Amino acid sequence: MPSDKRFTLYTHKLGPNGWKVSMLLEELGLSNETDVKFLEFDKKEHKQAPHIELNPNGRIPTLVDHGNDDFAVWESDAILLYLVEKYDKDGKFALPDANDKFLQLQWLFFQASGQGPYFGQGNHFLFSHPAVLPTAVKRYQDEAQRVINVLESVLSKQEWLVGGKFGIIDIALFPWHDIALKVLFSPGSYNAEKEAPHVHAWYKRVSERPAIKKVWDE
Amino acid sequence: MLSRKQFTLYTHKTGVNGWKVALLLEELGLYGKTELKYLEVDDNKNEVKASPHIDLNPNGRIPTLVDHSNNDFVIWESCAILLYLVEKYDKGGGFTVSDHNEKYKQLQWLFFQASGQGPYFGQISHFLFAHPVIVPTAVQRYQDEIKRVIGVLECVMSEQEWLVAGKFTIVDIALFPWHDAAIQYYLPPGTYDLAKEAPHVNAWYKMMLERPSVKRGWGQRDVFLQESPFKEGLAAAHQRVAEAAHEK
Repeated sequence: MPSDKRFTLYTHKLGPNGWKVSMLLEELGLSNETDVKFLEFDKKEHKQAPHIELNPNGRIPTLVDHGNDDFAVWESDAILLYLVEKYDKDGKFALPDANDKFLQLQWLFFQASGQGPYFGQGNHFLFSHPAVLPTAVKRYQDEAQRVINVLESVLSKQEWLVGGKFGIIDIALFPWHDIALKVLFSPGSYNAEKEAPHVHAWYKRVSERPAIKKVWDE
Repeated sequence: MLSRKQFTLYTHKTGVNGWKVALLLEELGLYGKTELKYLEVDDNKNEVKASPHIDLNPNGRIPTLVDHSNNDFVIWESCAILLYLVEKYDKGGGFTVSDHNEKYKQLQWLFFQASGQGPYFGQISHFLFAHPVIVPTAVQRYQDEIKRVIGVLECVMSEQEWLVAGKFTIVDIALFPWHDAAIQYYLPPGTYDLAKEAPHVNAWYKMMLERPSVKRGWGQRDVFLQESPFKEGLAAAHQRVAEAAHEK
């Protein structure tokens, strides 16, 4: 079905990966050009047509660019890179240094392979697993702390991870980080400001950005 | 310390992700220009989490590449390294994807591998060998996910020969190692017939096994595996999980 907006974004109301894309669209001033379709997981809409035909992996988000022949791309970090390459008219996210482009990829793959899935497994064993496995929950809570410590070791020496400025890597890391603080760590067990003060300062900086605030508060 | 070779690759003899990079270096004719540093991890030491490696890569996971011909530029995350090597050193364009849309399809599949294949398959290794207690439902979760991921690949490969740009690319190199590990080691022996369940993925897999770079590089990993206690412990690990599942 044709959309009169430039993009269709298949996503989910709670899924953090979808929110990454929404945040970038807001930062780029493209929210109004996006038809957002919230899929219901209970009804398995993500694993059925029309979504599954666009994305055989059946996971959100999936972006369709009607301004590019209905090009469909999935994997949230790939979508972030696509949007910046094609639609960052003001160069807000441009990285003139070629090495920085690769460092950005490095951190995006760190987020995609080492943050998201591990934090997500923690949530799975906390909320969805058929058996209660405290050792599994602990494994992923410990790993979340390790990941935050990695970020702390870098952010204690430099203000931003890549290019000396806010970038798509910060958008990519933010949602899962927020979930770790609010949901994954047992209440009172992790004092973010004490354990990783530079990460905490980064988190506050990012959450205060108007675009992020607007989207994340929804 | 000055290295006389163009690259230094910090890696591990049996760790899966390091071999992705080794395979691409082989394909690009750069293997001979790379100094390989196999870091050791055992009960007494963990070179991956210690200097000098940790100073280059604060995440403390392999592989990490240093390009001495680019001012000792350091890059980690295996898929990022693949993209770096192809962009800078694939002069013949054999692995380069020039079409704009295909470039993003390539990124999409690389992120699929990095987020949806590697970590999920890797959790089985953890729950089989390293977890403090035997948790059959956790093992089952990740074994089911292996089959689901193979199913996704089958769905696409049943309609097209290659995932990206109609040819062999770094996506195939990225997917192969964990796929091989899953088929050979992570599913209970005799329970999954790839040729029957996913014939197109099976055809792709067989083709990959025949590539000279894979035969040489991945074959070398197999030699290292034989030298380690891995294979002896494998059958016992699956047995323990099966017994624990029956007890419930």
